[in-house]
Amino acid sequence: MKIQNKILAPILTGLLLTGCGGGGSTDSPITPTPDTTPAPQTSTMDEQFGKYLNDLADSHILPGYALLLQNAQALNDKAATFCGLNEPSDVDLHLLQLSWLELSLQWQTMQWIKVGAIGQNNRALRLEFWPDSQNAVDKGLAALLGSVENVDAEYVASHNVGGQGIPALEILLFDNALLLTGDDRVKRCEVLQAISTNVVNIAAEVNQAWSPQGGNFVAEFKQGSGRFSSRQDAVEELVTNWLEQLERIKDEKILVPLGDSAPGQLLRSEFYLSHSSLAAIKINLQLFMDIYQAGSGHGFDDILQLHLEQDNIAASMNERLLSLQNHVLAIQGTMEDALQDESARAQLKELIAAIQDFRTVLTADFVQALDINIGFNSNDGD
Amino acid sequence: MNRRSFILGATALGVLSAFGTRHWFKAAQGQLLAGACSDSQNNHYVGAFDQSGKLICQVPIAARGHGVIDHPNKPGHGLVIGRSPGYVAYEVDFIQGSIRAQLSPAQDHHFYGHGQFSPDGQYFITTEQNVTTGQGLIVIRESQHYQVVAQYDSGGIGPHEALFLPDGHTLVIANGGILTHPDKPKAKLNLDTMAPNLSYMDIRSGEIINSTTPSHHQLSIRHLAIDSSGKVYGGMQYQGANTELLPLAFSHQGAGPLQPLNATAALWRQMQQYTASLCVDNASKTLAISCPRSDMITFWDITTDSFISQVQLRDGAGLARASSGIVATSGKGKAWFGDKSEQVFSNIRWDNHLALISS
Repeated sequence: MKIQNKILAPILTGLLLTGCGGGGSTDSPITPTPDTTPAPQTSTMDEQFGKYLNDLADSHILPGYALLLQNAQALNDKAATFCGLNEPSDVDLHLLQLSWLELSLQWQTMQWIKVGAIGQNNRALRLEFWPDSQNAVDKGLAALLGSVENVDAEYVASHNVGGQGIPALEILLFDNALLLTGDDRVKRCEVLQAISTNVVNIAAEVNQAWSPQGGNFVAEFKQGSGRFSSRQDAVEELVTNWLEQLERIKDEKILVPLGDSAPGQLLRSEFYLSHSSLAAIKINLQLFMDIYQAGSGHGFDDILQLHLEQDNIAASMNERLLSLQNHVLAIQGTMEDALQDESARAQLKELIAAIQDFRTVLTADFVQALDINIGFNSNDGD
Repeated sequence: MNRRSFILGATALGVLSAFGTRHWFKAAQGQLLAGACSDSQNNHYVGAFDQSGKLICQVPIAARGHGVIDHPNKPGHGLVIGRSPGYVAYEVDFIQGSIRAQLSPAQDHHFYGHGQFSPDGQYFITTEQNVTTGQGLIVIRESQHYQVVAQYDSGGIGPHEALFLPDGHTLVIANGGILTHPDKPKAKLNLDTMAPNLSYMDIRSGEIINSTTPSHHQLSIRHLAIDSSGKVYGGMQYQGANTELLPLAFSHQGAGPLQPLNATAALWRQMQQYTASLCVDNASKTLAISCPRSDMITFWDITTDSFISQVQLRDGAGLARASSGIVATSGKGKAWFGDKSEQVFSNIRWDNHLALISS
């Protein structure tokens, strides 16, 4: 059984409304409301960057990773309950799918971050191995399902990286209804629980590394110490992460699936089995405003306007971020729908143009105003 | 690692202010290290520093530079080539901090950012593109006035770095395979059909005497290093997905296929499909490969072609071998002198490559 688009659509909409730190998003076009309050420059850029890093960590990164762990644990618990049922129903499977969606979409809010523990020991790839032109996820999952050994989280973590994370769980949960009807239902449940526990473990490691009570990477991050040479260095790395995510959305999440003509290449979109590819992109792009504004804290907008008195650049950034949201929210349905519909394909192309427009301002006016260096060789080498 | 860092702060800035330009700091003696660089306001320069980390000069240039080449006939001089699509190259006197000559490609050509003097010093060779046809070219100029004396088909599209074998007449060419056009400098126009290769050209005739392709058609061969035995090392940039696992560096000598260097899957993955510069230190039998996307400089044993170790250098890319060993520079303005020291230059972003300049 495949979940039908019409069933998932309202669920995805609901998740989207809460997926970026408390909602506020609507499907209606957003009107820019530039804040033009002037204020004198009273602190150094180091202090400004410090405020930004502090607020971004407290309002987005720490709670975001905590929610990722919470959602991973919830899925893990529900998988255990599901697998304990003698005769699980469609509804039981549907509830499990929803739990996976909450986890997957929360991951989309954190996917842009590469600094810290997520960037070490292949954790990001283990959570989501994608794009997957070599079918590593299929192969990894097939190996787990075919194993005669008992498959637990430790076993998963030591085997094919493709079978360790959210895409492998998507196949188990959304590719037909083999968890309900398959002859190997018991083994599938064993693997489902093992992979979901592995995801919990990865999310827990990342939380532990950032936590003030654990590895306290958050202190290094806020102070620009440890692996960072300064607060500016930390900001530069974050903005580089942001730019890389922007490129990834444009190229891998939109351009490749779009292909040359309808119906595009749906199988190369991110989460096509669960029909959540477009929802993921919406969350990615809505999250950009949080990155820019440090949630509701001392954001880049404040630095530009209140410290640097660069109101024009702040307005330009704000306008383009809102344009991104307006463009992506205007695309209805799922990616599968959009790829087949000429008017929706045109909307996707307009979204790509809006992303390119934003990239231009981000990499030119924005970085020059902040006097930061975003991956000179790593992103613009030759 | 015992590191000591310096920040060129008030002193250097004072010197800059005193001269009103950023051309000249002091006369230099001994070996210099030179690289293209930019500042935070996107002004472009070619700069040189000595092995104590003292900035010797920072010469403004019109556009972003890329490779720098030591001039074999003029101590303290070198050439910096415009980054692709480059339309100018400069001969620079690094001791005086001045531009001595300027050369441009033909009207329908552009530079790819790299060049090389012939071992006898008589000729200067650049990799270029014929924009009309897309064909890669090896263009040969005499080294006095840089007048073109010959040009040959490079054996592929997108020739990037080219170096001579120790025999003095075989030019090894990294044909990256990516078709570009100056109208859209960032666009890669043939990702599905690109065909990179490593070509060997007899520079006396322009004949391609050997050509070898990498294991995947999207593995763009970009940069090279050659050891004293004539073994060629290549660094590649993969144009496919980040999740795919492919060795990004190889060795090659004589006939046969490119041989991937020996490293774990985790290390190749860590490189994020990108290498920047390569540099061989024959004395220590070591190859260095910079990997700016993973903020590391990797070291390899050239007797076994195996990975040895790595050091962290944020956005590190430039590599050169000085008398003290391998030196690396970064887009964060840092120069790394092995275990001995490192230096941070204020408001300088060192570009992809670094060269040793004899003076």
